[in-house]
Amino acid sequence: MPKSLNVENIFGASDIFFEGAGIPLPHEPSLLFGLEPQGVGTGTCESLRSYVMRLAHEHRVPVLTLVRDVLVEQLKSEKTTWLGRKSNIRSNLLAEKKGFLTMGDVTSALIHALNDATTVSSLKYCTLQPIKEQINPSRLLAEYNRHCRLCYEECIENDKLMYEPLIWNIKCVNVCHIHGVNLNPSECGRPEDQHLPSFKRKLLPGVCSRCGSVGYKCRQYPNKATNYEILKATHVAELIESLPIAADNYSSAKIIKSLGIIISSVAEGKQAIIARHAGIHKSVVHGIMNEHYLPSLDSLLRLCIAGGMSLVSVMKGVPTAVHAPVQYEKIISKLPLKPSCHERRDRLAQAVSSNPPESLTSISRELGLDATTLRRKFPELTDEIISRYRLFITEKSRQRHEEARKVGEAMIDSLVSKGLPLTHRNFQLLLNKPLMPKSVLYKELSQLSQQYR
Amino acid sequence: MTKSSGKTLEDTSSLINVNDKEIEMFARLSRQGVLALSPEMKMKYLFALQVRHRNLEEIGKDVMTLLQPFNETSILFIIGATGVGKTTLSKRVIKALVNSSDNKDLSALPFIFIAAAANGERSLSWRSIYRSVLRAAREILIDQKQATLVCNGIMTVKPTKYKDLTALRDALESTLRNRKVRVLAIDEAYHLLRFGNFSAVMDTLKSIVDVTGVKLLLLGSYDLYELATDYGQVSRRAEILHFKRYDKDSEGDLVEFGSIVNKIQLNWPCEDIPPFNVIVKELMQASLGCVGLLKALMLRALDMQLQKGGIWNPRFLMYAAKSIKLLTKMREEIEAGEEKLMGGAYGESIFTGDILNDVTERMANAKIA
Repeated sequence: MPKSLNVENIFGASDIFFEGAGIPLPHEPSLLFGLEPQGVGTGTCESLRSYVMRLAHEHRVPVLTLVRDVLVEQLKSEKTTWLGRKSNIRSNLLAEKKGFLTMGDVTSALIHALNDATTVSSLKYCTLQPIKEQINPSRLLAEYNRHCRLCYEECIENDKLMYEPLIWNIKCVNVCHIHGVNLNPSECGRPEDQHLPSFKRKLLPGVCSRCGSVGYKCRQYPNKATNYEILKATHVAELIESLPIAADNYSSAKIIKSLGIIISSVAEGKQAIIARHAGIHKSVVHGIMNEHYLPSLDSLLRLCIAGGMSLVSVMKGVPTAVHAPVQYEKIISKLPLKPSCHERRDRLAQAVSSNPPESLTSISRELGLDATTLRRKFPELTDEIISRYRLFITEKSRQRHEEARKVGEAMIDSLVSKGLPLTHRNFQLLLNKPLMPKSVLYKELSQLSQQYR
Repeated sequence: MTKSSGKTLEDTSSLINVNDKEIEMFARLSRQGVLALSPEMKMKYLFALQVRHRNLEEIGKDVMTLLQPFNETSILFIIGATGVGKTTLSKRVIKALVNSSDNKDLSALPFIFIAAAANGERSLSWRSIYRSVLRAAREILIDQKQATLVCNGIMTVKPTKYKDLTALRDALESTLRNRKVRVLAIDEAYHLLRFGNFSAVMDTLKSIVDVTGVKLLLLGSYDLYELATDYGQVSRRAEILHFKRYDKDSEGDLVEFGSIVNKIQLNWPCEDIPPFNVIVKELMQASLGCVGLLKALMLRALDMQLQKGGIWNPRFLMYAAKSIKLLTKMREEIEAGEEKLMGGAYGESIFTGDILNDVTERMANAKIA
């Protein structure tokens, strides 16, 4: 609450005071807004990537512009060598997450730069940097972005802010620990012709970057997850929740000590037994226990679950049982028996006369043998199949171009009859949808327009 | 006017660059220290010197009362004659706001102050106003703002265009919210009137206030009164504060003005101090009772005195004061404005004069009973 106001506050005690011509500025404000990251100290703590996207949205600038023109300039002051070309920024920072969520120097420098620019000090908890000395950074992050549609729907219904939690970026977590469903890949579920043109796309957590659907309603509903996966997600959520308070207490030595206790209490003191229960190779356990390398988060999780201990307590060095030990069950899919040589020959003979012609790649996949081997074993049949398929593809392409040409000619005639210029915009208006530069119709229209001119 | 070694008053570029260090130094200087300053610094000293006086204190209190967070008033008009001290008041209010805030958030800006300049365009340019506010808020990438639209559950970006109005307005609202701005002050607000539709102007300002929760402070001359009263929707949430000048026909005002003159005289940065205290009435006439005009007159007089080696000559007043015709024109405009504003300012409700006396008596009796 502001202090009470009186005349002394306004003018001071003296009869005279001094003022410059300019307006007094209390302090130089921070370069960027002091946006607080969401969920710090909970299992759904926001990821740094999501934070930067929201920050760009609040400043009403494109994310790439904020990163390139502001953050990279700040990074220069951190003397990092990672700058790269501008084209790398999109893939490095957004799709592949390098630089945003890793355990490396770039993320560390980025956090520091953001701390200075926003004056927010809790950004390191939006990454797993606090445990970089304890967890192996290899294969830590998921290769593609994922989301829980139910979480986003809840946010929309309750009018809450949508953001991407850090936990969704961790590779060994495949489910939402709140709703117990599988995480969906954050890819658009709509066909390509319903995608927005690139200049209209918004990069924001909870918004499909292709079609603009808020809450990823373009994706189907997720499936129910297995109990084992939910257990893993719960453990990781607890770990993320504990980072602001307890991360300083974690150490590799404590982890090794905890694992030793688990092995002796649950696995009769034998590393091989606990490894089998956890579904990892015994050499991995051996390597961790002998400090050959840091444990990966996935291995550590499986060991904790196999021992029934909480991950947080294991990292603190005081393993505490939270559930009964659960063994890792791998579902091994039964592969079909491979076809015999005769069956393969018959299949290829059938493909020679099939209509429409089939590709050798699809047949080889079906037969469980690579195309090169098939060609070596059945040269005449495979050559016949290849040449037939090539002719088919060529003909299909020719027909596509033919159709596109006819459509293009009709469009040009229509525009010319109305006295309108042959511009990209007019073509799009006529089609009533975006005309993508790589499409066949676009190429035909370009050629026809030039001929017309 | 002949030039000596120092710069003249006309060359104001160095005068207006009184920086914070110089201000701090002036506040600590003793009398000997002031007299030892160079002529240029003496000019800066008098320029920076401000006097606390009755009208300034009263209106300062009113402004701070109305700016309290739980007060329903969201638009304040501070109307007064040129040179009466509106900008000085707003600077003090800003300082008080900052000092009263307990929040140590370095990303927050409790106030933003801009001037609505007349830039020669035929109609009001909201783009330039928005850009001024964003610049004052130290906003980044002003030329690259983009607006976002959500329609039927689909979010799209409006293509980024240079100076796009929607994008700038969107960015303005976001900035005011995220910087936790409490007060947005627009000086020279009468420029908002020129060539503009009053209702449309007030609609836009009102919507900024509604969306962001910011309080608006509009400073300007008596022309602002029409803007304040034209639109009924605004009247409910607006207050007009009349920053009055000192009236030479009022005994109380004369005494107070004399006190102001005295304070400046006591801090005159020359050994040869002009006896302004004996010509208070004439000074009041020459400055139309406005402290700002009085200061301007004294600055010119000081400049002339310094050029003459620090020796005072009453003839300096001949050139320091404004010409009669100019003064007459200014006085007529001020009087017309005061006439228009009568009964329309904060504090001029039905509870004044006889009614107030009667109400006071009845309420006192009710208490006793």
